[in-house]
Amino acid sequence: MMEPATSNASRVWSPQHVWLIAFYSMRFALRSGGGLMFLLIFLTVGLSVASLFITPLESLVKYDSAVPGGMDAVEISTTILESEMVADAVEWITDSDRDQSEYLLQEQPALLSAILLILLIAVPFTTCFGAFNQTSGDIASRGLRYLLLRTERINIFLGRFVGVVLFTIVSTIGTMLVIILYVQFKVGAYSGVDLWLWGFQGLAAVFFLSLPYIALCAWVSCLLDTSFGSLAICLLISGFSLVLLYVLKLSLISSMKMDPESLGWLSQTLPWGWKYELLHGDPMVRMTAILAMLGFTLAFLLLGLRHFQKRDL
Amino acid sequence: MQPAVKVINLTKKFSRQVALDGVDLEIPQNSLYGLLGPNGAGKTTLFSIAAGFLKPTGGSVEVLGVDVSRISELRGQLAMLPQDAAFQGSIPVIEQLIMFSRLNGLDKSAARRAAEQALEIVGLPEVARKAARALSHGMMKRVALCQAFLGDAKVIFLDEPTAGLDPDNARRIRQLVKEFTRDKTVVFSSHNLQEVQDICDHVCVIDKGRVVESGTMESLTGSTFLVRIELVSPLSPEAQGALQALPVVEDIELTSEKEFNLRLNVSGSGKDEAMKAIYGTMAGFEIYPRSVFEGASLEARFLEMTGGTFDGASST
Repeated sequence: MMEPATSNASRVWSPQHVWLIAFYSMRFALRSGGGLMFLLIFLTVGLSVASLFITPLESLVKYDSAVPGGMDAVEISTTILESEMVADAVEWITDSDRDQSEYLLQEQPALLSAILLILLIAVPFTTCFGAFNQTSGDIASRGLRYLLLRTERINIFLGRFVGVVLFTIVSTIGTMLVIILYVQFKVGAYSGVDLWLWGFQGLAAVFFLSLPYIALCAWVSCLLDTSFGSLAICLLISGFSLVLLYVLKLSLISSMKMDPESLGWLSQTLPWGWKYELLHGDPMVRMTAILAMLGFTLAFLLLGLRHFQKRDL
Repeated sequence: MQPAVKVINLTKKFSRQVALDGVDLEIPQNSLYGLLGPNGAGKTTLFSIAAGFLKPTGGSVEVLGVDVSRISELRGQLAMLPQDAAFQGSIPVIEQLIMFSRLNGLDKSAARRAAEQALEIVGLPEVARKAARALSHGMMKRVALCQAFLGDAKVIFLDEPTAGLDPDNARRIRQLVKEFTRDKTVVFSSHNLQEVQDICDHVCVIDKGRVVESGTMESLTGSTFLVRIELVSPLSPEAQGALQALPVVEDIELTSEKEFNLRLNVSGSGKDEAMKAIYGTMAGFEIYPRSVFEGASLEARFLEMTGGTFDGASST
C-alpha cells in the first residue's frame, strides 16, 4: 500500500484541493448528463436568439436582391437596426439613455448587440441548468462522504463551484464562437476585428452575469437533498424574484405616488438589474457592474458555505 | 496508550428522534472492534459522526487524539467504508480512486499506482475503466472497501461491509479485512453476529442509542451458548422438564411443537459434555433430533442484552 506524501494537513482551506475537485467536476461534467443538458440548452438558446434576428434578415435580403437596385444584407441590417424605432426599443429594454442605445447599435456591431441583449435575459435561467446540481445529488446519494473523509467541507463547496464556473466558461466560449461565426458568415456586415472584440466583451458580460447565479445555485444545492428540487427552486428564485420586484415597484408607484424614475435602484438589488451595465460604453459603469456581480457572488457563496459547513451530510 | 477512538458523551438528535443518547466509548489501538446493535440502534449514526459526516448534537469524538471537527488533521489516517454511499455513477472507478488518493496527498502517478494496487487487492483490476454504475452490488462493495484501503490509514471504520452480499462475496470481504488490517484499528459493524465473533477481539453492543455493554469478546461471550433443535416428533412436557432440569440448561424456549431453543451455561470444552447430556436425555424419552443448530455465544449474549429472540437467521 502506498504511503501518503503528506499525512499531516492542518490547513483548513486548501487551494490544491479546491482545484482538484473543480478539475474533476469539470472534466466529468458532460458524462454526468447535467453538463450535457446545460451545454445543449445554452447552445440552443444562443443559436435560437441569433437565428431570431438573422433569419428575417436573410429573407429580406433574398426578397430585396430580386428587385433591381435593392439593398444588400449590410444595408438592410444597418437601415433596420440603426432606425429610431429600434433605438427606442433598446433604450426601453436596457432602461438607459439614447447615448447607450447608439453605442450598442451604431458604435458596435448592431446585430451582435441585439443578440447579446436577448441572450443576457436568458442567461440567469440557462445558468441554473448547469449549476443546480453542485452538491444536492451527491448529498442524496451520500457520494460526498468519500470526499469528506479526505478534505474539508469548504474545499468541496468551493471546488464544485469553481468546477461549474470553469465548465460555464468553456460552454460560453463555445456558444459565443458559434454565434460570432454565424453572424460573420451569414451576414458579413461587420469588420472581423469589430465583431470579435465586441463578441469578447459580450462573452465577458455573459460570464459575469452567470457568476451570481452559479453561486445562488451552489447555495440552494446545498440546502436541498434532491437534484430536481434544487433545479426547481433555482429557476423559481431566478424568475420569481423578478415578479416580486415588479410587483413591489408597482405598489410603491401606486400607493406612495413615487416617481418610476426614482425607483431605478430597486432592480439593482438583484444581479438581474445590472446585466445591461455589463455592455455599457462607459468603462467605469462596466467596472461597477462587474464589482456588483462579484459582490452578489460572494454573498451567495458565503450564505451557502455557512449552511454547508453546518449541515449533516 | 491513548485509545484510537474516544467517544465522549455523544448525543445526536434528528428532530425529536434521539439516535444517540450520551454514548461513551473507548476503542483501543490496533483492535478489531465490533459494533453490534439491532436496526436503528445508532451504529451508522455513530460512524457518521466519527467520520465528520454528521454534526453531533452534544459531546465529541476523538480519533487518534484529534477531535473529528478538525477532520483534515486526520487526512490519510482515517478511512471508512460508509454504508450506502454511492460512487459517481458515470465516472470510471479508477478516476475516482485516483482523485481520493490525490486528496490523501499523493501526486498523480503515485495516486494512479495506489488506485491500481488497491483494486488488485480487492480482486477487481478489470473494473478500473468501468463506470461505477456498470458494477454489480458485490463489486461495488469491494470497490468501496478498496477506497478504504487507499493510503495507510491507522483507523478504519467499516459500516456493515458484508450487508446484502452473497456468501462468497461476504467471505472475500471478511478475508480482506483480516489480511489488510494488521497494525490498524478497525471498527466493524454488522448484523452477522457469527461474523463479528470470528473477526473481532473487542465488541460493543448498542441499543436505542445507548451502549448496553462493551469489552473484550471473551468477557462478553463468557459462557453462554445457544442451541436450536428441530425434532422428528413433538417434544413432550416430561422431556421438556427433564431437559430443563439439566444443570447446563439455563433456559428452554419452545418455538413450535417440534422445535425449541436451549440457552446453555457452558464454557470451552464443557460444550461437548453439555451436548452429550442433552442427547442422552432426549434419547431417554425416545426423542430424536432432525437437525441441531449451534448458535454463537455472542448471539446468546446479544439477545440477552437487547431482549430479542433467537431464530438462527443471523448466525448463518
